[in-house]
Amino acid sequence: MREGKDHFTTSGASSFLQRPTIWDTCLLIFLLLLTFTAPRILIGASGDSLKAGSYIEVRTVDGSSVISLKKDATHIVKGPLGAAKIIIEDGQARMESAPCPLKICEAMGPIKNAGETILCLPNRISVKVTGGEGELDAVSR
Amino acid sequence: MRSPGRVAYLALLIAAAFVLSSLERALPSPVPMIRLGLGNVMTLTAFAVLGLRDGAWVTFGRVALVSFIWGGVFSPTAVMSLTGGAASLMVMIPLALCGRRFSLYGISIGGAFAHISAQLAVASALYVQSADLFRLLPFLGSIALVTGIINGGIATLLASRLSVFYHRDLGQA
Repeated sequence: MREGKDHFTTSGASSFLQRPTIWDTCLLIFLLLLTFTAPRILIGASGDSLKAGSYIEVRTVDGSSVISLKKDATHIVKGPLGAAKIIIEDGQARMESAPCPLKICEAMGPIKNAGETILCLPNRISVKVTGGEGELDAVSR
Repeated sequence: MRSPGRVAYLALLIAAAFVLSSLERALPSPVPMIRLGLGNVMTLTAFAVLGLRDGAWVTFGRVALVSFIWGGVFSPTAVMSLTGGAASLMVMIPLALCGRRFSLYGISIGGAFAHISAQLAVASALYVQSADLFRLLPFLGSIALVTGIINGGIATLLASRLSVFYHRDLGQA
C-alpha cells in the first residue's frame, strides 16, 4: 500500500481509495451536526422563534415597510423583476405569487413566528415577522 | 510540464464538467436552489486520475467557461459559482492531502458542504445583508451531503475506469 501525500497522483488504477473510509463517515457526521447547529450560532439563540409575531417587515430595494399581521389583506410589493403578491391571512403571511424564476419564496410557505423570513433573492424582497405577542421584542439583526 | 496526453485528459474533463454544469443550468430543477453539482464529479475524477493541481484547473476552467458562455463574467451567478468553486477546492484539497484517510466520498461531501456554505455566505453578505439565509442551511446542507455522496460514488466509478485508459494511453503501468 502506498503512503504519502502524493497518493492521488501515483500511477495505477487502485492508487486512490475505492471505498468510503471511517474518516469519511466521521466527516459526514461532523458536517451533519454542523448543518443543524451552525444556523443557530450564526443567527443567535432564537428563543423568540416560537412566538407568534404581530407585524411583518417587508424590505425591497426601495426601502422597508411594516405591515400588521392581525388584519387579513393582500399586498402588492414591487421589486426589480416586477410585482409580488403577499397575502396575510389568519396571522400568517405568505408569498402568493412572485415574478422570480425559481419561486423559492412561494415554496417557503406561510410564516407567522417572530424571526421567520421569506426571501426572494432575484426580486430583492424579504419579508420578516417581527414583534412577539403584545411585546416589543423586535431585535434587529 | 504536462505531457500532451495529460493535457488532452485535462481538457476532456474540463469539457465534460462544462457540459454537465450547463445541462444542470438548463434543466429546470424540481426543487429550487438544489443542484446535483455534477461538474464537481469531473474535479474529483481529475483529483484521482491526474492529481490535485489538475483538479483545481477543472473547477476553475468549468466556472470560467460557464460564466463566459452563459452569463456575464461579473453577474451575481458568476460570483456565486466562483466563490462556491473556490471554497470547495479549499476544503477538498486539504482533505485529499490528509494521507490516505479520505476517499473520494469524503472529499466530495466536504466540497459540497463548503460550496453551499460559501454560496449562502456570499448571498448573505452581498445581497441580503443579514444572516437570515442561513436558516436554509439545515435543509440545503443535508441535501448537499446527499448529493456529495452520490457524486463521490460516480467519481469513484468514473475514475477507476478512466485511470485504466489514462495509464494505458500514457504507457504507464
